[in-house]
Amino acid sequence: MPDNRNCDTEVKTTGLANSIYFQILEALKTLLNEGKPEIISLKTLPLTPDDLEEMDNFLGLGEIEAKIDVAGLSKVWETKFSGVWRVRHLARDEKIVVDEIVIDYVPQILLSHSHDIEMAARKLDGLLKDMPLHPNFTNKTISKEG
Amino acid sequence: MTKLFHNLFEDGSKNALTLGEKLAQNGVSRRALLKFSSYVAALMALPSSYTLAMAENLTKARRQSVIWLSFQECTGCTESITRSFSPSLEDLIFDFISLDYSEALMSVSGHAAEEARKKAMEENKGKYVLVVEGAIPLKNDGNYSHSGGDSNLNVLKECAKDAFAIIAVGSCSSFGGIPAAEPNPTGAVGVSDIIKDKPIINVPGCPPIPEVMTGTIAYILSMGKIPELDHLKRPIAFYGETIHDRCYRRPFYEKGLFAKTFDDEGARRGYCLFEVGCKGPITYNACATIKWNGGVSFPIQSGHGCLGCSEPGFWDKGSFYDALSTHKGEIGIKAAGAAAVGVVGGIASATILRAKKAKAIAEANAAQTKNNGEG
Repeated sequence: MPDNRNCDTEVKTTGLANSIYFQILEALKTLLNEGKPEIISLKTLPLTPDDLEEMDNFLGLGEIEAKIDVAGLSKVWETKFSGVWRVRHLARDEKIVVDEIVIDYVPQILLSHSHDIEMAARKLDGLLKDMPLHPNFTNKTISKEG
Repeated sequence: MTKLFHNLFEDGSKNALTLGEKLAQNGVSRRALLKFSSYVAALMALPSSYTLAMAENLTKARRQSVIWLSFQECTGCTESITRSFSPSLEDLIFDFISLDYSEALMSVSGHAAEEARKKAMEENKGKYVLVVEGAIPLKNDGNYSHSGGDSNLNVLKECAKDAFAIIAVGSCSSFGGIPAAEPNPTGAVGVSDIIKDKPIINVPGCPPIPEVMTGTIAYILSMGKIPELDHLKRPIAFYGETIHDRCYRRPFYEKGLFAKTFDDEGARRGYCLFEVGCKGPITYNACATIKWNGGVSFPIQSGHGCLGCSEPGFWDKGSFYDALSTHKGEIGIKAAGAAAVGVVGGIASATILRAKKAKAIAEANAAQTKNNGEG
C-alpha cells in the first residue's frame, strides 16, 4: 500500500520568495522618497515552509531584536537590510497569527502610544507623591500638593 | 470560552467604557489593539494604513452587542468559531463584543433566555449585529423548526427588524445548505431569501474558517461599516479569489500534472487533484491561505480535493470525486476547456476566473454605492 500521507514531498520552493525581494526593494525606495511605509503579510501568500526559510535566510538578522509581551508574545527583528523588519505575533499557544515584513523606520508596534505615555506619567506622578524622598533631594518644581 | 458565558449577563454599566478605557483599566497597553488590528488587517488583506486607523477606532469603540440565532443546522459553525487556535487575539474579540444571546453557548434556557434576547434588542435598537447560523424552513408556515415557542421564520423577522447588519454564518444560513439539498423537504432557504431590507453579509462554508467569522465581526466593529462584498454578499477579502488561485499545487496544474487516483504516483508527488474531483477552481474561499486548525493545513494539503462547500448548491452538484470537466452543467462546460489541455487549460481557466472575479467586484461596488446612497 503506497504511503501518500506526505503528499506534498515534491513541493519544496515555489519561487515566490524571489518576488518578495523585489517587492521589498520597491517598498524601500517608496519609504525613502515618500516616507510611506509598507507591510507585506506573509500569511496570505501561498508560501511553503521552505519558501519562508529561504526568505528568512536571505534577509538575515540585523542589529535589533525585540520581544513584546501583550496579548501573546510578539517577536520583532530588523533584517540585515536596514528598514526591513520582520514582525511576528504569536498567540498564547505559540501559533503564529501574524507574520509580516514591515518596511519602515520603526515598526508601529514598538512605539509607545501617547495615551499609554499619559497613563505612565500619571502613574509615576502618583508613586512619587507617596514616595519618601531623600533628604538631600530638593526639586522646587515638584509640589507634594500637586 | 468562559468569557463568552460571562458576556451574557454582564453588568450593563461596563458597556459604557470604551475599549481603550477597558484595556487601560486592565493594565493592557494600546499595543494590544495595534496587534489585534494587524491581525485583522492581515486576515482581510487590507492596506497597511488601515492598521493604525482600525486601532484608533477600536480605542474609541464600545462593546458591540451580538445576538446569535441558531436555526436548521448542525452547530458546526459554532463549533468552528469556538475552536479558534489563536486564543490570545481571538479572546480580544470576545472582549470587544457582548454576546447577548446564543442558544448553543448560554447556560440559561427557556423564558430567561428569551428575556435576555429581547432586552438586548431593546437596549441596542438599530445597533446590534445579528448572527444567523442555519437555514430557515418555509414550508407549512415555517413549522418544521421552532425554538422558544416560535418558528425560526418569525424569530428571524423579529430580530432582523432592528439589527444594524446581519451576518449569515455557514452555507446553510447563506444559501440553504444541506437542509436545502434535494428534495428540500422543509423548504429551507438562506437569510437573504427572506430579509431584503438589511445589509446582509454571507460567510459561507461548511463550516466557515473561524478567522473568517471573527475577522468579519472585527471589521464591522473597528470600521463601523460592512466590508466590501461580492455578488453573493461574501466579503471579498476572504472570498475574492478561488482556492485554485492560491493553491500551492497550482504549479502542477499549470504543467498539466494531475493525480489520477488517490494512491498513484501523481498523488504521492503532490500533483494537482483536479482530476479526482477538486472543486478548487470554482470555489471562492480562503482555505489555501488562512488554512485550518491555526494554519496547520487545509483539505488539499491533506491530499483530498476541495468540496466547494462555500458555493451555493455544492450539496447538489454531483459526486465530490468527479472532475469538474465531467459535469454537464454550466460550470462543467467552462472548466472542461481548462482541464483537458493542461497548461493551455490553466490559462483559459484563469481567464474565466478573472472575468468572473472582475464582474463580482464591479457588482459588489455598484451594490455598495447604491447602499451608501440609500443610507
